[in-house]
Amino acid sequence: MNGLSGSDISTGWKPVSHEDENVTPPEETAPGLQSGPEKPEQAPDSGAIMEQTLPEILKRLDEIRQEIISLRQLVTDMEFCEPSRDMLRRRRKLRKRYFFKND
Amino acid sequence: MTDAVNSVYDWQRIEIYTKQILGKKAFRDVCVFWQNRPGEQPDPVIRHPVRLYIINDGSCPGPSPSAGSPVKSVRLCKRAVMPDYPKNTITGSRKSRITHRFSLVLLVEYENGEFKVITLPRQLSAPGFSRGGSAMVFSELISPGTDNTVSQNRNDAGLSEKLTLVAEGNILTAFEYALTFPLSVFEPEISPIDLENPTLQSIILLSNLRYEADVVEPYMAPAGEGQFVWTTAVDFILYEDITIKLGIEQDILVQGLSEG
Repeated sequence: MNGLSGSDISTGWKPVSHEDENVTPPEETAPGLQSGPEKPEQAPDSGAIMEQTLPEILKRLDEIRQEIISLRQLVTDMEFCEPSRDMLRRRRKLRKRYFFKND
Repeated sequence: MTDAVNSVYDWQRIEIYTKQILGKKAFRDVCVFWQNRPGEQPDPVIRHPVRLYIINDGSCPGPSPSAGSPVKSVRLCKRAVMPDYPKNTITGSRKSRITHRFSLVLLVEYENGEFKVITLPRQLSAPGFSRGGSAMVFSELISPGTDNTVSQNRNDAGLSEKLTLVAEGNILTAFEYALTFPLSVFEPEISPIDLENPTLQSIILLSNLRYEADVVEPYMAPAGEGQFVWTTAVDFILYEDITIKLGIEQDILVQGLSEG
């Protein structure tokens, strides 16, 4: 075995290109192969659904995250505006007095 | 070590822009130039070398050609990689594919002491086709009338490989080696959600290129139009290591001191 010095190659970081989802690479359906078709990694239906709806799922997840953030903010605001215990006690006392007078 | 120990109160918020590796895979001893034997089922493990029929020095095509001087040795001078290659593609079926285009420059030494430089696949032709006299080497890699796929293999782990010829008009410009594999091959495994990241990038490293070239026997090859030419059969095979990394861009915030 002969080596070839100075042949090392690095591409550097490059953006990954995405092939059209509807295009099946020819090597995956090569008719000349006698070893048989490759076993699918997932059930065909689940794979198709996942590929079709993945962007939608991601979008929905982002919406849910935004909703959680706004709900948290709402809860924080409510806690800030919640009346103090002293105020509540005063209100209760006033109510009690009012009832006694009526009796 | 500095004289004064920096206090934690001196720390500052530092934003670092870097590449986070999502997954990587090193394929060792990858055979990127091989030949499936005609009529045999491709073996996922065993690779057969490409048989090159190199025209003997001084042999000219004819009904009864002169033997000329046979090939004594073949050396690989250079493996030229085409611009923008190798590259990585995510296929429609969520697999990663490394595509690699190259040409080979061989230094051929003949028994009579002569040397010639041969560029493949530019000077390659199917047996029986001299390509206007420009062909120096015949190979059964090329089958006239078929597509440019010359060799392909697939193993049980879901890896598939293919060797094809790239042509521009009538000129063969490069060999194209393609290796397709599932994302589960990456270490750690890459999830399909990671593929949606708009900053997804790849880096490919080719290293440890090595070859075997064995002179086999003299062979009288058809040269077309009822003519023949004396050649020397040479078995040639090429291996290398291919490493791929997939990564995304990350902004990282740390507390500390920069030395700069």
